Amino acid sequence: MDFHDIKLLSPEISMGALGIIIILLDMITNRKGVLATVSVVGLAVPLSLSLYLCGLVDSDSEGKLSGVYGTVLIDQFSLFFKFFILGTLALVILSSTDYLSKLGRLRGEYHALLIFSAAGMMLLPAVTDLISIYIAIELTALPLAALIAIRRDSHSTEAGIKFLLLSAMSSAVLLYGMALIYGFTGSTEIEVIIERIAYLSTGSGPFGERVILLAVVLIVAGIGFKISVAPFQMWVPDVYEGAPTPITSYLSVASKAAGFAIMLRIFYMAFGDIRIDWASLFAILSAVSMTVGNLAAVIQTNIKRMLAYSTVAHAGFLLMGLAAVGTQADLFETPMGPGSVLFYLVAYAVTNLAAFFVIIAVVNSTRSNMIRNFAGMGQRAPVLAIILSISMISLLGIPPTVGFMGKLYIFSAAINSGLTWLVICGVLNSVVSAYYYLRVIRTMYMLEPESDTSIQIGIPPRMAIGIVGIGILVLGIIPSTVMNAAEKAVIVFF
Amino acid sequence: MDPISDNLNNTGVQIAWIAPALGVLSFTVLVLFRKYLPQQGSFISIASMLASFGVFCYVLNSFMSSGGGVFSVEWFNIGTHSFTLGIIVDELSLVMLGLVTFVAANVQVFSIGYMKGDGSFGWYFAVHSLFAASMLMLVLSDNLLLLYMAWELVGVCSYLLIGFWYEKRSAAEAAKKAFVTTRIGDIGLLVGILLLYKATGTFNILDIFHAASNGGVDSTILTSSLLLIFLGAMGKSAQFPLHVWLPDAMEGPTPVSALIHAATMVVAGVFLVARLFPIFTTTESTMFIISTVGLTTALLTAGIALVMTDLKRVLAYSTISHLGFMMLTLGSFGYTAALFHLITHAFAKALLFLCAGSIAHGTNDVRDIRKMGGLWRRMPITSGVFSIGLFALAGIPPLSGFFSKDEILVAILDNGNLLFFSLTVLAALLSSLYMARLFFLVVLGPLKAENEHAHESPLVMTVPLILLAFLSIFAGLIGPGFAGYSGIGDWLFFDKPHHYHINFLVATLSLFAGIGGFVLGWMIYYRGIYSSSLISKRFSRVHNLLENKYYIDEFYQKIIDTVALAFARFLANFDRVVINDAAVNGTGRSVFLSGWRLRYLETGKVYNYALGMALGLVSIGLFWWFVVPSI
Repeated sequence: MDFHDIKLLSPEISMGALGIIIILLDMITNRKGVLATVSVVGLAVPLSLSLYLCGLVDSDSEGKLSGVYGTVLIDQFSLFFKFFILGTLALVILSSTDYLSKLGRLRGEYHALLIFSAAGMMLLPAVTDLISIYIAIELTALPLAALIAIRRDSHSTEAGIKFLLLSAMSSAVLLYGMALIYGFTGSTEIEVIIERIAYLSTGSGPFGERVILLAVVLIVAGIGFKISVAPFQMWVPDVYEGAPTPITSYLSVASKAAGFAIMLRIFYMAFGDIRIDWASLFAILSAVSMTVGNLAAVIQTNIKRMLAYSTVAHAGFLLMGLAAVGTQADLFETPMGPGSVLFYLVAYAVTNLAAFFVIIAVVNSTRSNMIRNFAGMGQRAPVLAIILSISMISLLGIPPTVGFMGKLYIFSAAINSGLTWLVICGVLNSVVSAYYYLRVIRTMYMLEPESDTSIQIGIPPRMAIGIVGIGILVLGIIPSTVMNAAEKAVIVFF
Repeated sequence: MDPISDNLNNTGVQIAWIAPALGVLSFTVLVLFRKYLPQQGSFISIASMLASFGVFCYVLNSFMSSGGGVFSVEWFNIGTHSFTLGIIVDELSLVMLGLVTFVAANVQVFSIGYMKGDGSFGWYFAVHSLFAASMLMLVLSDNLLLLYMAWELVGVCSYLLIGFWYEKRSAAEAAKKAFVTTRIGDIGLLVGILLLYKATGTFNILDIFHAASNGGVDSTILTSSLLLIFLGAMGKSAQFPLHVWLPDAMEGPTPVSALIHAATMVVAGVFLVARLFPIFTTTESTMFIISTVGLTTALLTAGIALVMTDLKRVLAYSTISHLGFMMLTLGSFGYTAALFHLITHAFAKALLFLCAGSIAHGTNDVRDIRKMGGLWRRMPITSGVFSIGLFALAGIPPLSGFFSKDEILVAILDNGNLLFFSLTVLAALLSSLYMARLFFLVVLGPLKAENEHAHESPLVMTVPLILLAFLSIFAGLIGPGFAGYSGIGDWLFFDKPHHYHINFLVATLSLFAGIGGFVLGWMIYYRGIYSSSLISKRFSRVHNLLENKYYIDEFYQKIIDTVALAFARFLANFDRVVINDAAVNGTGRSVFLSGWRLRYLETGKVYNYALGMALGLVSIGLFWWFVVPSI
C-alpha cells in the first residue's frame, strides 16, 4: 500500500473520513441542520479528488491506472460511476432535509451511513478482484440495511430486517458462484480469469464447461438481487414501502447503478469471450423482469410500491442493454449495449429521483403514500405536480424527456444485436406501463383535492427538485454530452 | 446561391441562432411570470423581438463583410445515425430573418394599442413570441428534421392565435379548420422528408442537395418526395384547393392576421420551395405542377376577392392570390422574382391588415366595406397609409409592388409559356381591380352616418403603420439597380446572377394592368359608369359562384358528411367492438388479472421471498443446463 495506491483510493478514503467527521460533529453540535450542509459541502473533496484522477487517467497512455496489488482499476468506466454516485448522493441529501427535521433523531447516523454506503458504491466499479468485489458489495449493503430501518417503527424495521436477511442470502449465492470460478480457474482476478477460461474451458455448447454455466447463473442471481431483477425482486416492494422515502430513492438509483456497473465489469472483463452465451440469459431475464414489474405495478395503490415495481420493470429495460452484445457476425466490433446501459442509468436516475423527491415533499405534508392522496395536486402544488408529471412521462418514455432518449438508445442497441423480439416485448411493456404512470397524472389534475392547503417545502429540497426536473428536459433535448461520456466510459471493455 | 461552406470565423453565422432563442425565452418568461409583470410582460416580448432584429442587423453586417455559412452542432448519435442541429446563413435565410423580425416587431407594437384591455393580454404576447421564434427557426434551419419541428410549432401557434378568442364559436371553428387543413399538407411534408431521408440517409439540406446532384437518389423517389413536400407547402401557403382555412383565419385578432399573412405561416410554404429550389428544379414535372397550382390559385381567388364584402376577407383572398403569384413564379424558375414579391407583398400586406385593425378600432368594429366610405375625413393617417398599401399591391408605379410584379411577369415570359403569361396579366389586372374597389369604397366616397364618430387610432398604432407604409413605398427599389447597386438579381438568385432589365413590353403590360384596374375601379365603384350591382345582376351566375367561393367549402363539407363520416362510423363500430371490447379491454383485463395473480406472490413473509429467489435461481440453472443446449 504505497502512495500510488492511496491516491487511487483517495475519493473513497475521503468519503470515509467525511462520514467520521459527520458522526463527530453530530456529538458536539445541537444544530443538526448543519450536518446536511457539511455533508454536501464535504462531497466537494471526493469530487475534486475524482476530477484529479480523471486528469491522471486522461494523461495516461493506456487510459487506466491500476494499483493495490492489481485489485483496483481506475479508468473512465469507474470514474463515470464515481461522478454518478456523488451526484446522486448530493441530491438525496438535499432532498431529505425536510424529512429529517420531522424524523428528529439519528440525523448524524443518517448522513454518515449514506456516505459510507456511497463509498462502497464508488469503490465497486473500480475493483477487479472477486474478493474485493464482494467486500465492496457488503460495504454498500450493510449501511443500507441500517438506513432502511432508521425510522424504527414497525414498517421500517421489518423492511430493514428483510433487506438484511435476503441480502445475506444473495451474497451467499454470489460467493458460491465466485468460489466456483476460483475453483475452475485458480484466480480471483478478473483479468486472469478471462485468459484461464479461454484455454481451460474446452467444452462445446453454451458457456463451454458446465461449471462456468453454474457460476454465471449464481453470480447473476447474487447481483440480480441488488439490481432488483425478476425473479429476485420480491423484497423490492416491501423494502421500498417501508424504508424512509429518501432512502428508497437512493436504493432505486444508486444501488441499482452500482449493481449494473459491477455486472458490466464482471461480464465484459471476466466472461467477455463468451458473451453470446450469457447475452441470451440476460435477454430472457430482461423480458421476464419488465413483464412482471409492469403487470404488478398496474394494480398498486401505494405510490412507493408502484414505483418499486416500476423499478423492477426498468431493471428489465436495462438488462436489454446488457443483452445487446452485438451479433456473432460482428463480435469484434464495439456494440452499443454497454453505452446504452450507462445512459439509461443516468436517465433513470434523473427521472426517478425527480419522482421520489416530489413524493417526499408531498408525503411530508399529507402523511400518506396512497396515490389517491395525490388528488388535486395540480392546484395545491402546481410546480410539484408538473415535475411529477414530467417524470412520469419520462418513465413512460415519451419525448422530449430523457426517458425517451434512454429507451431509444437501448432499443437501438438491442435491434443492432438482433434482439427484435425483445424490443417488441419492451414496446408492449411500455404501453402497459402507460396505464399506471398516466394514472398518477390523471389523479393530480382530474380529481378534486381533499384539502386546499398548499405544500410547504424548504430550500434544499427545492434545489434538488429543480435540478432533476430541469435535468429531465435538458437531457431529453440535448443528450449528446452524457451519451458521449457513456460511450467513452465503456471503451475500456473492448 | 453559392455552395455554402462552413465559415467558422464568421461570428454572424455563429450567433444567428440567438434570434429564435430570444423568442423562446420571452415565451417561457411570459408563460411563467406574466401575472407578476407590469403590462403582463408585453414589453419583454417586444424587447426580445427588437433584439432579434438587432441580431439580424449584426448577422447582415458580418454577412456583408465575410459571407454566410453553416453553423451546426451535433445533437446526438445513435449508432451510426448522427443527428445535428444547425442553421444556414445565406441570402434567403437573411431576407426572411429580417422580414420576420421587422414585421413581427411592428405588429407587436401595434398590438399594444389594439389588444389593450384584453384579459389574456400576456398570453397573446407569449404566443406571438413563440410564433415568431418558430418561424425564425424554420427559416434558419439547415436540416429538414428541425425545419419540420419548427413547421409544426408554427402550426400550433397559429392554432392558438386564430382561436385566441376561443369563447367565440366561429373563432374556435376557424382555428380547428386551419389546423386540420394544414395538417393534410403536413402529413405530405413529413412523408416526403422521411422518403428523402431513406434515400439519402441524411436530414441535412445541403447533403441532400449533394446526394441529389450526384444522382444518388432514384428519380421516382425524388419526384414523389418533392410532390409530397410541395403538398406541405400548399397547405401552409394556402394554395388551391387547400386554401379554405385562410379566409376563416380572420377570426383571430387582426394583428395576428397581419403576422400570418405577411411574415409567418403562409410564406413558410413559399420559403420551403425556395429553400429546396436546387432539387425542385431537377424535376420538370414538379415545377410544372407548382406553377399550375400557383396560377390556378392566383386567378380563382382574385375573382373571389372582387365580391367579398368583409374587408378582412377581401384582404385574405388577396393574400392567397398573391401567394399563388409567388408559387407560379417559383414554378417558372423565377426564384428572384418570387422572393422579391414575397418581400414587397409582406410589407404591404402587413400594412393593409394593420390598417384594417386600425379601422375596426376607430369605427367600433365595422367590417363590411359597404358600411365604410369617406374614412379619410375621420382617419386621415390610417386612410393615407391604407391607400399606399393598396397602390403598392395593385402595382402602381413607383410603389414597391410594381417592381416585383414586373419581375414576375418577366420571369414568366422568360420561361416561355405564353398562356401562363397572359393569364398572369389577367390576374394582375384583377388584383388591381379589387384593390381599387377597396380604395373607392373605403377611403373615398361619402362618409356614412354610422362612421360619424370614427376616430384616428393612437400613436402606438399609427407609428408602425407609417413605418410599414414607408417600406411599402421604397422596398421596390431593391429590385432594379441604380448608382453602383446592381439589383436584387445580383445577390438573391438561383444558379446564376442576372441583372434587372426593363422589358418594355412587359413594363407596359404591367403598367396597364395596374392603372387599368384602377381606372376600371373608378368607373365601377366611384362614378358608377358601370354600376356594380348591375354587373352582378347581369352576370348573376358568375357572381353567385364567386360569392360562394366556387362552393369549395360546401363540397368539402359534403365529402366530410358522406364519405368521411360514413367511414368514421364504420371505424367507430370497429373500434368499439374489435379494438375496445376485444383488444384493449381484453388485454387490459388480462393485464389486471395477471397483476392480481402476481399479488399472491407478495406475502410479506421473508422466508417466502427467500424461497422465491431460490426457486428462481434453480429454474434458471435448470433451464440453461438442460433446455438451452438442446435448442
